[in-house]
Amino acid sequence: MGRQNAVEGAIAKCRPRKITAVAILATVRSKSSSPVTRCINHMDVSKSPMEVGEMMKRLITMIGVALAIIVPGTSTANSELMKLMDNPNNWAIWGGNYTGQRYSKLDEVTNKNVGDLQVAWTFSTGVLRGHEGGPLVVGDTLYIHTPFPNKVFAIDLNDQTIIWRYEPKQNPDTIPVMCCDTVYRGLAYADGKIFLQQADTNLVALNAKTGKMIWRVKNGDPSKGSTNTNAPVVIKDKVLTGISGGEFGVQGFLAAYNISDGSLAWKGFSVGPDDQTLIDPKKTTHLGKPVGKSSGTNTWKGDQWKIGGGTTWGWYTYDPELNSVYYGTGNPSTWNPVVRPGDNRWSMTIFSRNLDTGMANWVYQMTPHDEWDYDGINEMVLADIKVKGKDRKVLVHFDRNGFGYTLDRVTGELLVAEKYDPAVNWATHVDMKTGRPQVVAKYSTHQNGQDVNTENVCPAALGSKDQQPAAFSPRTGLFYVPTNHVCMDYEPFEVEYTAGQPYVGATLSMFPAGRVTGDGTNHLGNFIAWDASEGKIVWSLPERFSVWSGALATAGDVVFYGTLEGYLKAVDAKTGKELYKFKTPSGIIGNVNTWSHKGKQYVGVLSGIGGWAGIGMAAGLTGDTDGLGAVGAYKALDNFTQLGGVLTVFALPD
Amino acid sequence: MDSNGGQKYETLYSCTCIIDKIADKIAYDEFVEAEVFLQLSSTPGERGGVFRDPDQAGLLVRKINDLTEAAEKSCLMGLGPNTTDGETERS
Repeated sequence: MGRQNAVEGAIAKCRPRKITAVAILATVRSKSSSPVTRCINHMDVSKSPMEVGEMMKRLITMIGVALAIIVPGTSTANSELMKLMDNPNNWAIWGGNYTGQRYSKLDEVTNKNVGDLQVAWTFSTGVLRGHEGGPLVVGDTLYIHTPFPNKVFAIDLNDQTIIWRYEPKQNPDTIPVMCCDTVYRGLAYADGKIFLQQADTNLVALNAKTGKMIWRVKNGDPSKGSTNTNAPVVIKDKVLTGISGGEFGVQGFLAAYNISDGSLAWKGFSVGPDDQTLIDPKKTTHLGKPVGKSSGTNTWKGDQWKIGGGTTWGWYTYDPELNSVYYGTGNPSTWNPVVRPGDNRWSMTIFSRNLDTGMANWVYQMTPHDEWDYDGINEMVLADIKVKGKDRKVLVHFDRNGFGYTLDRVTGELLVAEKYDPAVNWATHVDMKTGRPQVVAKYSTHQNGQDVNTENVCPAALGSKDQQPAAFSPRTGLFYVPTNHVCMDYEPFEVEYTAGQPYVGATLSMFPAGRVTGDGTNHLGNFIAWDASEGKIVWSLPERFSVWSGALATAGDVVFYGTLEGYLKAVDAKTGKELYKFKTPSGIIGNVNTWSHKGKQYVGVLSGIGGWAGIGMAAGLTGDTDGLGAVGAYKALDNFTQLGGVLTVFALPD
Repeated sequence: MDSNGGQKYETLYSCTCIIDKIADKIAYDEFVEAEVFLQLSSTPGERGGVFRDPDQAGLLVRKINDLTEAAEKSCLMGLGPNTTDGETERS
């Protein structure tokens, strides 16, 4: 229905005069520019929206038929990207390749020589606030993005000069709608295009050589609380993107747009009726059993699913053999669990969808009826490992709820679910048959009720781990996970829904996990190595602060990550021994990426953190500087761009 | 420097003076930790909570603020927005 609605909507807004059924069929087959695609491209500027007659109805039917006839074939668009990803000289996608392993075959930098690493060059983005994600490298060009206003720079690696820059004009009203800093996690490359997912939900295709806009499509409505922070991903002839705004009662979805013209291919909602969720009651399974009819609505009170959340602001991975895309959905709205009885399916859920049709293969809900804001959006790392002596194609996921999950990615079977931070206390364990976490009554914010402060829940709402992606080394068989070591007190309260207004409904206070475990520590994070076959921590490095930087593992048996103090750290992949650290200009919440240029390996990471106190002081601003005061502050920051984020690039000396 | 009268030789001197005074009283690692709390405590939403709420955040931020204030008193010598000289103090 998503697809048909989009086509219908686009056509309804366009003049039907010049379109014929033949032209439409030709369009769908050749994917070239045609009246329909042009029409869809220009639907925003179309001036006569309502010339719809019998002809239109027939056309819509014809399109439906045409789409059904065209068998989704292998597109040539991504064979180029596949080649680029296979070559470790590039870093062509956020996760290094579709598996999301964030592992590089480059081995010039090793656990023996990484101590000699030096800064090769730096680049200031000129934008303040939190810099998430990392650079893409394709051939001789490095592409880097910034937080709002989401600038893009193409940098020539031969001389580090700027080839082009792109700065979208976005309404600053988008800023206060973004719940948690104005971050943006990065770009996608394919088919000679750079794909930019703006905060205001515009998805933009730029010419990778010139930076000129090719097409733009609106993916949501910021005035109703939708924004975007995620990095898009290109697979075959489609670019995938999600939506943020779980705190604003948005109905989350994953959308696939055609890379040629930005037209919508399909849209699968996280919650709602089967034709919106693209769930087949008989074929889509949950732990091996068909989910049945109306699974996306029948665990909600009334039509609460319409503002049910389940947003999709994390990372997306893909298995070409299974033609399946994997991602997780976020919290149900509101945060206050008392007013939304039921499991709230399919929020907090791992989805496997068919790339061509969007239909869900299987789902697994990790936190039914969320009571703590444990979004399930963290990355799904795909790996082939042994579990209980058997070779398995698995998906490994470190959830905000503190459990590290290993699932069979073909069937959705739950293989391992263990705590990856010993402090986790809200559930004793996950029942492997039902897949349900066994909730401890005294940490249940629902059972304790509204206006009751539930104390000492671990982890805190930001989870044992947030979006910052883990890494996997096939050489050691270990996962490297940046974590939070933080607990909280949580008090839900009654809240009314208004479109475009925060729909949170909980007060919380956070503190080091050591206060709950009583072990006398007060550090706020750990960087751990995890055995996903056994569900065991292999080693754990205490970090003073939560680790909010994405990890990187390399064939040189080095693992890199960044810290909030601004250190880029390199540790031994086997032992965790610290081998190198360097303090970059600001705290690191970006992902460490690596590439090589002219035969030399480089490691690059963005630094630049959120927060307004530092900025307020520097800009001479006083008074209220909390989140909603951000718009005013933002306007005054133009003169202080020297405080902006910095890309620091490291290499060994010649 | 900007908040104490612009990019000038005098403000460069007072700026280095301030940081030297602070460095006398606090270890580098502790200073770095305090800076992170100071900068991130006003991050909006739940993400900022982890820098506002822990006990050590309040202690360290107070410590660094006190040290900075004391250092400014002995280094600024009439510069800066909070100090005024006879000429400008009219209203």
